[in-house]
Amino acid sequence: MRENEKFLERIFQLARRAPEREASEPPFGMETAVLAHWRAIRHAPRRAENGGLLPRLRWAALIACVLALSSGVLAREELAEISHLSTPEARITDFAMLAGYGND
Amino acid sequence: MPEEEFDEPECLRRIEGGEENAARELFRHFHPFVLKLVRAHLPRRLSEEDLTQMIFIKVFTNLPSFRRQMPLQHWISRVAVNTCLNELKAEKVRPEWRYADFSEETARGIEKLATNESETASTSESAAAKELLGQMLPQLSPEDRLLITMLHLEEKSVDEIRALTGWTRAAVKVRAFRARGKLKKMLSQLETSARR
Repeated sequence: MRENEKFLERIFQLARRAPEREASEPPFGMETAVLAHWRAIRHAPRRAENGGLLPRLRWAALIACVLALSSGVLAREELAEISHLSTPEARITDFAMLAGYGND
Repeated sequence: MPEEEFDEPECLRRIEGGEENAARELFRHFHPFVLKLVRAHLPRRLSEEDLTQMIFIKVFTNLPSFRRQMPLQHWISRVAVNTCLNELKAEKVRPEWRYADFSEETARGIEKLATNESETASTSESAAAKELLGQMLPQLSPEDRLLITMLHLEEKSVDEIRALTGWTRAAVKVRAFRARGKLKKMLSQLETSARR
């Protein structure tokens, strides 16, 4: 393994020394395509100009989450209050009233 | 274009103002730099022109979000390295690698490399070393390949690699150690198949 370590180091060393290809001139087609893209994104409507839909959607989602959470907390408190008040007898009476007993 | 003629802040200001000539200047100034990066990390299925163009399109698309907290060249190299890494990751199949696939000349060069330990080396030995690495590196994972190229061929420091990739120092060191281990294993296999 030690031999391979030395060999690998030598390969790296020699590969670094290998002559590099000269950087050629950029092809005309590439320059044209890149600049056309730059022009296109420059003229495309920006986020702020099209009303900033994404930030508005983010705010709407955030507000919806807050509302859902607060209504959940309120409903839980209400339920806890009701279940605290109702004794087994009261629950039986509620059930009987709901079932329509005593209306006859 | 000579280095001293390129005024980076001025060029960026002009690009912001919509001057096409400034965008052209930026492209021409950084083209050799991006091309060099692309050649070092090129996936097999893409041509260097395609990948270079892809990188410049990303650069111009994201240029408005460039905060100027680092030199533009550094930012461009980050874009280039990440694009190359993503393209290497997209390369699902890695080529098979056999000693028999080397040309006779390269095989001779590799044998000479293994036996000759002197500091001086001929151009053919350097070419053989480069070709051997060119066959071995695609066997590694994209991250390992990128790391070995930057660390051992481009001689970048651990901190420079950390800045370019976003990996931690420990991750860079551990990954480099493991990648070297894999390369050494490949050399052992090469030795075995060369003896047959």
